[in-house]
Amino acid sequence: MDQQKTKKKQLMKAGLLSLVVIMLLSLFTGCTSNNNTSSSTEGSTNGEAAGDNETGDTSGDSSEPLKFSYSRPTWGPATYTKGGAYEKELFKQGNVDIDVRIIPVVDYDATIKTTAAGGNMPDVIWGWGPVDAFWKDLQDQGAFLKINEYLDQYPAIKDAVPAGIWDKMADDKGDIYFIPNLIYPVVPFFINYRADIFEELGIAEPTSIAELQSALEKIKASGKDIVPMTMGNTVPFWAGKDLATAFGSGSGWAPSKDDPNKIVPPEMQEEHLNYKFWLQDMKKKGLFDEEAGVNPDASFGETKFKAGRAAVILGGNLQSLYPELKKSVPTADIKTLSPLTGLNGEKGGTRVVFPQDRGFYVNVKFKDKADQFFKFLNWSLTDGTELRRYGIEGKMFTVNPEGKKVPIPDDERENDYKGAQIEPLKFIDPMSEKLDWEAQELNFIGAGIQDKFEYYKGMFEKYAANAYNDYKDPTVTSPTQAEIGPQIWEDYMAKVDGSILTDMNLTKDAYKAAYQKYLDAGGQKIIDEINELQKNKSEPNYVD
Amino acid sequence: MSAKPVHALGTRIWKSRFIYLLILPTIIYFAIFTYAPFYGITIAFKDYKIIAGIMDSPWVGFKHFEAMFTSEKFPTLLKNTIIISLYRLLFGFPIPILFALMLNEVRHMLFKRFIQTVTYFPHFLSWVVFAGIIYNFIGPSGIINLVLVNTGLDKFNFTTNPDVFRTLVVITAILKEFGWGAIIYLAALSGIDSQLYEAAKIDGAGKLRQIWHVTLPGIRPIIALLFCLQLAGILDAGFDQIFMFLNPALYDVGDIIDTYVYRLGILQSQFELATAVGLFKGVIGMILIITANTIIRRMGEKSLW
Repeated sequence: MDQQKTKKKQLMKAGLLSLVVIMLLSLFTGCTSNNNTSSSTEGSTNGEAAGDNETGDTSGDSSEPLKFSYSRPTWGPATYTKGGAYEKELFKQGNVDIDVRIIPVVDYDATIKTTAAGGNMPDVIWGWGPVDAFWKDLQDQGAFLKINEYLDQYPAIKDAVPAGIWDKMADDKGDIYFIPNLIYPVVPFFINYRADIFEELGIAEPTSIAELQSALEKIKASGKDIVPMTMGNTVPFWAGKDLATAFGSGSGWAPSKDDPNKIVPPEMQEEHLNYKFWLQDMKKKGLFDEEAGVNPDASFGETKFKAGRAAVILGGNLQSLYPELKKSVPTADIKTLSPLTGLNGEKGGTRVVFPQDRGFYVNVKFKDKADQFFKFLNWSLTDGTELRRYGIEGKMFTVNPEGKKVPIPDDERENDYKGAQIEPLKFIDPMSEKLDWEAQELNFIGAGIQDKFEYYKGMFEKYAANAYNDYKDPTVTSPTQAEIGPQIWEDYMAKVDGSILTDMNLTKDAYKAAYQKYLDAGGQKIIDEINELQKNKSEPNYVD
Repeated sequence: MSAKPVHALGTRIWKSRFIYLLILPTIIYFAIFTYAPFYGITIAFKDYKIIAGIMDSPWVGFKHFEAMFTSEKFPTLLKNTIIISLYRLLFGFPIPILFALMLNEVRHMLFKRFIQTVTYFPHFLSWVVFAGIIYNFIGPSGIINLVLVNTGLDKFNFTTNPDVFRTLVVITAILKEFGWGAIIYLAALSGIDSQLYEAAKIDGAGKLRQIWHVTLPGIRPIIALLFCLQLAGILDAGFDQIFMFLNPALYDVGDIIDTYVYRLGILQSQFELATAVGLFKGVIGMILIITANTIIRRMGEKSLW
């Protein structure tokens, strides 16, 4: 009996001990494993020169694939899953093995900055580059790899970016750390409208702000139960950036009326305030979407327009709007307003943008394999161009009788070849591909709206003919802005600037009073420093 | 002499070594994930340089605290945070107790389970999802406004109206959490001796009298304990929820410390300021919890320590 008791006691002890061991092991495993599958050689940051690596793989050869981790934002749906067919093909042809982490663009900055602040950066990381104080500070702290010699070594990468943009990316010593994601500076946000509804209501195509307002009033009065004017998938005032030009506003810094040698921010420009408060007035009158500035889902306007529930949309991509609208309203037709004339005769056009929208850095800890990475990038711009640009024949594009590659619309592709699977694996596209009318036409053909192409191109040229620029050089930063800028903006301006479309009692005078407080709290110093640091205050030209 | 108690303690620990081993992972867990990060609090007193790390970043004293306390918005933020928290406490705290009392009286088990499931469910939804559902009701084109318009009334602005924001916050928080909050009270209720009810019945107590004289005193220690814990979180007005419903037009009534810190500390990368505010909240929370605990203990209730 006693023996049995002792045995039982021992068994219990052994059981308890095993349980403790298992728990400790689980804890240990949980604490040691992390999702940083970075293959980089961590440790020293003051390493050897570029190209000094043991493998020196060339994309497409038979050596070990280059493994690296990669974080980037996605503008499309964040539904990427690893191991897709396109990914496999890219890995095979590019001789790489990329561990991709995607973050929807709306959350990207907050997420990646927190990740970076934790010191857990991937091998290749997207950010805003030297135009943003946070990234510039990290760059100055030595977090990223200097890439000048790689650019000299791999000309396809260097040539992909205009020399003027490289100059902007360089620091005061001429060192470059950042590869910009290029965009064509002319990105018109067309004012699109339902031509069929306008025709039905006998409304002529508006050519001025006054005519547009009158048209919206007629649509509201028609009892059609549709939203007279809504907005594309971005923040309201930016969706209407090209409408703002008809008020004489470039939605950016511009020369001061008092002193042409000084530039001032949009909040100090009467034209810009006229535009913003006009839009508020439209909303007050029920002519602009009541959900603007309210609905947390930024795509609400496009959804309405595609469903046939809105007559005019500020911004929005014709290639996406048209086919979707046709599905809900087969008789629908979309046209684009020519640049409008303002209330005081201002000539509308398009607000041109700085030709960079984020880009990526290479982690300094990845330096030992950086040469292989640049080889891969170079390959993607040379031998890998077809795969990078068009994808896989039969899956992502077809070849027409003229031998041109016609993209297959996204919704007609197999899941593995949809945009959501491709976008996360994108790196750099050369500027030469950014405004390629032949490729644009093929996109229209692919979307089944070939007949709209010439019209679209004509409108693009009309908008582009009158360019409005932001006079501020984005690479110039004020020390005071870096120090207190965000806080004084939050304290004095965030409420008024963010509530023009939601607080119908907010007046222009109240806005100006808040801005004066902001200026007094340090805003004026920021403006003065910008003017001091930016020697060239002439209108920039990002197009030529 | 002094070695004896130590020896005795050692013997006791050795005797129960397996039990201590069982608790070890929990201690390690708290040490690593709760106490070790305390080291990061120093960021509040430094000019944090990511690459240099916390240790090698330069000290700046109370600069970030000064920035916080001298901020034009700080009084408004503090006021909003405390008001919203007090509203939650005032209206949100009794609801789970009342619900638990009512549920406790339900005798039809199937009905009881059904109600429990339905009321627990919103707790498992994130605020992103729950706020999306609420928006479909209260948005400018939402169900409520649709009904108002179809009945010939004017639309009502729920989403950017400062007059209803706090009410909206309190109601939606109650809707989401009252079922879950009732669990602990239901557990406490099940621990009340049924003989007490029988005795009360014999003494002629009706249902309400039984609740007043038996049920409520039975769960009073739990109520006091949870009240004490909620009081400690008075500067946590519910970031997730407020963030989802907040709009710049509502900043005067709804912008709380956490949302401000998110915008400034996380979006604008001012991690030092965010840490300073976190530390300030922690200190206030600690003072409140000690005060509440002392009061509860002096009142003769079961306290936290």
